[in-house]
Amino acid sequence: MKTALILIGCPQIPVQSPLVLYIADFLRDANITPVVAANPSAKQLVRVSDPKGHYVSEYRDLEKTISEMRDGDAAYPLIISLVHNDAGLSYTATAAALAPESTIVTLFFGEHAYELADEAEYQTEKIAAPLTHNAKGILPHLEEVLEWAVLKI
Amino acid sequence: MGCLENMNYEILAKNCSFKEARDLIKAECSERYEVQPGFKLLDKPLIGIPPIFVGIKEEKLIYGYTKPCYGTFVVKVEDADGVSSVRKSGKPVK
Repeated sequence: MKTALILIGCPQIPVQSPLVLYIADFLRDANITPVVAANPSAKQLVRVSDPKGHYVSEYRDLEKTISEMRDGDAAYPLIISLVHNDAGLSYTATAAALAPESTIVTLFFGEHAYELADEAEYQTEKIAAPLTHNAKGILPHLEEVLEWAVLKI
Repeated sequence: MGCLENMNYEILAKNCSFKEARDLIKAECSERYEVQPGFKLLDKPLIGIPPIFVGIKEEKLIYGYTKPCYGTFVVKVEDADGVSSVRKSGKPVK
């Protein structure tokens, strides 16, 4: 089974965890194993939301994942990154540089979604919306991009 | 080699954007190098938006250290191995 990496950073914006579960659910339906790479606090929020691992069965440490990608010990054909701050953009730009063959989808959200999307110069499919609590408005666009992305890998 | 916490280091700036960190490194260091994302310093891959600059001043490294919830810190670290590695593998930039 193919795997896709869902890359998340600081969990400050409430909509991040539900978006992770939504994306993981979509990937599972497409027979792709979702792997979530996160810092401890973001990981904990997703774990508590999905205690039996119905959506996410595999979690990785964010720093370790970048290190493994850098050393050639891990590779993901599809990387979906959720970005709401400058650090998230830095991590995603790094992942993109380390995985030039991967299909990368970046979902920019939060107050600075559009500015961050404008700053992103790496090769990626961008989705941007200033969401903080309610993800509903972005879901049709997200699904459209994910449908395209899973066909590419 | 070791963790940053175990080294003699100084924080020059904190909670800044990666671009601000890059500008500070340029302002602080006349000797600077461009390295690729994932370039390892103290056993950790550098996180950043290319171009990633690492400066050398007084035989100490000056570079951006990014954490997901805190943005980028600019640190000045005594790391002789790192200095050699950057001089050997980095691309000198003006």
